[in-house]
Amino acid sequence: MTLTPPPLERSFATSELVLQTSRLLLRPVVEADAPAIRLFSRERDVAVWTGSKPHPYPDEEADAFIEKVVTSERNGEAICRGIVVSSRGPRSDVVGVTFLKRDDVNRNGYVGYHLAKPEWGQGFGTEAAAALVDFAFEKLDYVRVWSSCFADNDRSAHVLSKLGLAEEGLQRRHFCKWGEWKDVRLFGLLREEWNRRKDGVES
Amino acid sequence: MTDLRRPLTTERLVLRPIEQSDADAITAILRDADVNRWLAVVPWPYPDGAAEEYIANSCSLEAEESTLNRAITLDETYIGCVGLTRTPMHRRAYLGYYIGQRWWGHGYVTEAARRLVQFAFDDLDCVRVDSSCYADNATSERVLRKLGFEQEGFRTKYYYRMGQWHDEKLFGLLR
Repeated sequence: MTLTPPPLERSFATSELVLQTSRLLLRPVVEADAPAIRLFSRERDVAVWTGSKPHPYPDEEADAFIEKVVTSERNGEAICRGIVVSSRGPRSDVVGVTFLKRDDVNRNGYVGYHLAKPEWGQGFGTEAAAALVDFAFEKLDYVRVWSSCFADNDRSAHVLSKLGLAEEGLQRRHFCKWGEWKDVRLFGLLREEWNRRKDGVES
Repeated sequence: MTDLRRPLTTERLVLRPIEQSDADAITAILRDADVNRWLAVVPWPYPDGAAEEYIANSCSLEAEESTLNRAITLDETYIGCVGLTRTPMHRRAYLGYYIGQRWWGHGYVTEAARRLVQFAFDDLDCVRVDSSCYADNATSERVLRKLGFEQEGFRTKYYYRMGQWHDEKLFGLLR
């Protein structure tokens, strides 16, 4: 009996990773993204559904956020990508971020995302997060990807179901957001389910 | 202010902070595969020095009041452990426990965990207590249900341990 998981074929340093989807460019978050991140994070309707964004959003919060994601990327704890709309050019401002928190030991990843409000309703969040879900299964050889959202966040639940994640739990009063206790919905997608979806899409 | 380190008593047990002198008792219990297999983050096989390291870590977490591990003692003998890992921002704590095989079947874990849950609500002011177990751990699930926990989720292949993936059942108890 092996006592540790079979090792990943190679360890992925993802700091330089750029992913291309049909409409989006997903590239590393850099210090210069602070103004763009500040702009959409200030929006209450964006911040209210995130776990950690405060409101009002202090100026230095964006710099702290960038430093945190760069550090966790370097430590192999997470992959965080700025979302750029390809048609606007590769140097256009990020309109959101998507991330994958890594658990290489259990081969589990947590996927998350948020998007500037003017960009909502076009499937950008789904498209960006799908690229990280694929990366988790294809490149990291994970067995599952999971996520969560506040129970009253229908928009996010819809994105997760479009990604193929199935509901797997409801944790009552699990999270205190701005002084209010919220229920949290849990979602998960297994590798074999993802394979079947891929086969279905491609056949 | 109540002293969080004070011993908690139940009908048959005393719960007190872990001490370095518990190392041998901890090692003996966690070298039993029938106990260790149900735990999530404890090493297997359980090496020399692991208990001492765990206790030192536990003491520093105790000092910052982030994780409160309590020895379950019966007539001053260490028979197992029950602990709370806190998330103060959300006023919740995660309950975990184990007990040596020779003390199984007497309701000691239920008795100890019930007291610690009360401590979480009364002394730590939690709004909820979390717990979880491997999906095939019927004994642990029974303990949680006796304490009033409700199942809140099921995660397929959430943990890789001892050569295989394990499903996890999630539980929660509201104040």
